[in-house]
Amino acid sequence: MANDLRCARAERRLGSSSLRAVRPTALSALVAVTATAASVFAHEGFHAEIAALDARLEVAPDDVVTLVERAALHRRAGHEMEAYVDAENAVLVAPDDPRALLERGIALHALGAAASAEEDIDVYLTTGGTDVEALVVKARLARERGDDVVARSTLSDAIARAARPDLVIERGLIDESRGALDDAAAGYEEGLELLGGAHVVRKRLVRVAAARGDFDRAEQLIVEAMTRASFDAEWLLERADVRAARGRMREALEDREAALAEIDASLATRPTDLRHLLRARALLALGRIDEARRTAEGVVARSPGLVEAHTLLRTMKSSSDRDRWSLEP
Amino acid sequence: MIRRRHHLPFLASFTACSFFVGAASGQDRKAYLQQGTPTSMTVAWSTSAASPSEVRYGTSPGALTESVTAAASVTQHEVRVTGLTPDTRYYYSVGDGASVLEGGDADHYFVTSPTVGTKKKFRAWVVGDSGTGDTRQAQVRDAMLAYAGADRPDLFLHMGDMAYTAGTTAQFTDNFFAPYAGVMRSAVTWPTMGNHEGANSDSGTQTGPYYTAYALPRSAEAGGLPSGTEAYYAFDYANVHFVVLDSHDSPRDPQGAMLTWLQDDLAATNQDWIIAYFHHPPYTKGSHDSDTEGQLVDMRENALPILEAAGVDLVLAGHSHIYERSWLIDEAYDTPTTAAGKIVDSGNGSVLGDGPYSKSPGLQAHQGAVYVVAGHGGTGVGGRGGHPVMYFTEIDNGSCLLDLQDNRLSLVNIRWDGEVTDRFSIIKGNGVVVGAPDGGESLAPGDPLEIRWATVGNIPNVKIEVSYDDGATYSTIVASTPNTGSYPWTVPPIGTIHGLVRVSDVGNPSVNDESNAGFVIGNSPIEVIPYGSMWRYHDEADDPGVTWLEPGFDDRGWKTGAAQLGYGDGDEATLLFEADPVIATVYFRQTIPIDYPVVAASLEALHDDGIAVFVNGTQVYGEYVDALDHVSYASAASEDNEVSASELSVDPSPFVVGDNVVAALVKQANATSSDVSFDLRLAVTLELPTPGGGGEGGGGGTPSGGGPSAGGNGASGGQGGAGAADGGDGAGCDCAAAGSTKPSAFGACALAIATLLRRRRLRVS
Ligand SMILES: [Fe+2]
Repeated sequence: MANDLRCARAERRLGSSSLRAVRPTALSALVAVTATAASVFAHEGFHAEIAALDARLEVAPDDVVTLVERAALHRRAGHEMEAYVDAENAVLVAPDDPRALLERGIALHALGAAASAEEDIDVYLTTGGTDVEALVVKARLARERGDDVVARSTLSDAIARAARPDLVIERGLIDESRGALDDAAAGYEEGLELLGGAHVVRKRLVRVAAARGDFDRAEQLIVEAMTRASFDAEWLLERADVRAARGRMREALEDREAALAEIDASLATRPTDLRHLLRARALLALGRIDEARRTAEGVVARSPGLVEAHTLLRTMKSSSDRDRWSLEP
Repeated sequence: MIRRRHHLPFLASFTACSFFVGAASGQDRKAYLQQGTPTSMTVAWSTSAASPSEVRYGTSPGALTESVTAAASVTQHEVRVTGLTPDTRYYYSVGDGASVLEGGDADHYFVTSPTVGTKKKFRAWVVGDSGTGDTRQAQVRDAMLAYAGADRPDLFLHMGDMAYTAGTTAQFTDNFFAPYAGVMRSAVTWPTMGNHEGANSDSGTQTGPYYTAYALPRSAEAGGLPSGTEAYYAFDYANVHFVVLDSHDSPRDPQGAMLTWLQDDLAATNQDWIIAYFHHPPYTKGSHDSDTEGQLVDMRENALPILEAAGVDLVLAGHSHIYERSWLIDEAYDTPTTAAGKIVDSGNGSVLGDGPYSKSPGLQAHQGAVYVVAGHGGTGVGGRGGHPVMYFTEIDNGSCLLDLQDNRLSLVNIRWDGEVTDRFSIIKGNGVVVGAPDGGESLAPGDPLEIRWATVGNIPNVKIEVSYDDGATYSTIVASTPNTGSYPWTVPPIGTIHGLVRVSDVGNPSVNDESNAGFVIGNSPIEVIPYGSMWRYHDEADDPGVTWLEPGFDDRGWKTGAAQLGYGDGDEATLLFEADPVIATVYFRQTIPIDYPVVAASLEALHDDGIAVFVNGTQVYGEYVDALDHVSYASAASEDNEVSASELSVDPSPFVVGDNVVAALVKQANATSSDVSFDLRLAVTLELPTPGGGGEGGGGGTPSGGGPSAGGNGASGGQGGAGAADGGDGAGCDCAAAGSTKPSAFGACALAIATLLRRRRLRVS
């Protein structure tokens, strides 16, 4: 694909002004663009690593390794456009360089240029590239275009190479969202095994197991966790939901009351907003909705940066019919 | 003068043996400690050739009675020792089962963590961006060790960038494991990955030199909730919950796995303190800028709201090659960062300044946290500083020591040259924090010392005590004194290698604090003869014979004068007889009382030409003197006013307890020499009594009096006498309160020391 076409695509997504400075017309222009991009960052505190790479590129502007290195640095710093410019330059110099293609693909994905990104990533993967990040981008591209099957299988490939908690969760959420709870449970079970009992995976698995009606497994997972927990409230709330779902309402009530009691006892010396948030959940589960709302509002007021508090409050405000088995994360 | 220890013998041996790790043994990396818990420890090391693994261990270095072996031949050895007792020191060795590679000595030990929740005092070393293998990295390390003295860190928290430039196996070996071997064999290392390690290590696959080297918890092996990855994890130590995040190579989005785990983990902790660290600092204007760089912005905007909602107390980071330390701040999440309305306490947090930061007991959200950028551990520093939330910035190398005990947290920044350039403390609830002595001081008897502390809460009066045995027993310095934050004290003649001062609320003694680490009394040289002191001298032509240097010689007929003594140079305080022809030899004598055994001595002499020095009739030093008789000249001419220095042999010791005669002769080089010069200073190190060793009551001793405690008090009382000569500050103790009613043997000794100190014009400062 011609560079100007690629840029034009990106431009449509990003607005022309943001990309005008980096449209490559010739290699020499790209070097100038690099210098321009660098000067944008010649602010106080701009780190020496980029400056060192700048210096190397001044001497050898076609050094693909350095271009790719600087692209990766920019990407990690959240400077997608600068990352893209460097990767683009690298690909122009070495069209078959896998690292250059990967960096350009990742940058294009971050910039919203999905088709171009997928093209680079596919070339990278089909020519033997093994970086897990390529698979992750490929899976997300597939998800974005609605191809959950490819997204899932690609994430499974990624997990086989790198069993990361976030990838296990990402794959599981795809399964949950398409109602494939058996797949979700299997994926989480695999993840739990691979990841040494990762808490975030266990939590999702409990909910999916319960949603599938596998209450014994759900409770077993909770009991395993509680045997080594120093603070049980969160797991008590989870178990209460499981028990409520299997119709054991008295036991569910006991768990919720026990959770609330543990939370309240702890608030004397640990009145953190994370504990208050748990308290809001416990109150909500006990049907004490006004108290729950006030508690959650207090958390939001004090800790506006706590995303889960906003989510809980929104849930309370928007839903009178609280679905205990909502599979929203 | 209060001296910081800088030249402890163990430090020299540490440097010598640790910086140059012997590849000859086939051991690439010396032993280091991982994943310490109250009942287990992982001991790791690496060898160039694969071999089985064995760790032998026991509670005495001479009796490693237990062992754990692994038959598999490996080069990266990781042996998990389990079934241990909490808060217990174990000595160990590592080997291949057939032979021992290292250990089995007093230097190779680990201490299991205290039971979770225990309010035990401990110390952690905080270092970032250090793995260059260069001199500066070693200087930073040595400055910490000199400051820490005997109180070595229990934990080694590395903020990342530990193996420049790309975290290769060789760079880890040479730039991290080698220079820190002496620390890592006894302190448990808890790292977070830096971007330079990220060049060759991958958090996703948990592969590369970083993940090969470390055995970190992913299943909550050391506390907290299971993260499922070694890239980020939690651990408990005493009453502190540590969370270690991966700001480099794990997704940092608010709903992502890492921060979801973080939130649940923090919600579940019942610890009293939360300390978080990761590589990329949320606030910095050093070699990196937290307003413009994605990883730094992410950590600030996404992780900090969770940490602060959990009541985090301290957040540590590296990456930016600078030392920056914030005020107590809260909710400064905006980009770019602004300080308005975000500073909870605008004081400097120092016990020696505005006082410690104050928070509620336990954990409470939004009472503020202190943010430290410790990216100054060895690599080149940079940036302009000036971040709006930072109270203190220093663009120079160094590292931090973190001390924690019960409801008090303190951190100091130790610059590479040994200077402590920043300090702050946090108290939770009512409390006392001792600021001085704080550990590492090397004190001499008679030194004036201002005891400093700060308090939170209503504490009208404090009690001040001193321990000479690392806190096992305490003697009262003053039973009740107004809570002014300072108290003048004169260091008593009681030897200790681990002294502590404790300050407590008179009304509620459970509210107290002690020095973070120990100070030393007595192993510092005391200058018993300073330059310029008074000498008896004989400068006549008549021969005083051979007995002039003996202690019993009667020198009352000799003249008296202050040094420098001599003629011919114009710089003399006392002119000697300039005879023609010259007199070959002149003689000097001085008597000094020394009331404790001398364990080391050194002298420095200014002489022209030859000199010989005697202590109690034994020659201890000579320069250009072959023959001692009256008419012989020096064997060679000296420089004008030549200065020579020497450590004196004290085996056998020429010194005695009591009066000691120091005698010297100075010889002309020849009959035509035009000048004579003499001055001399002598310093001795005394073996001072320790509590229990010299008190007339003997035995254990307690803060409530009796035995050595009474002796100690008596000594302090005697020191009060010295204090009178020093301006009468009354810095004695309350003997009556401590139950001492008559002068003890210690008291008598102390009076003698006081006499000695007065004799040398109290030139102890
Ligand atoms: Fe870094």
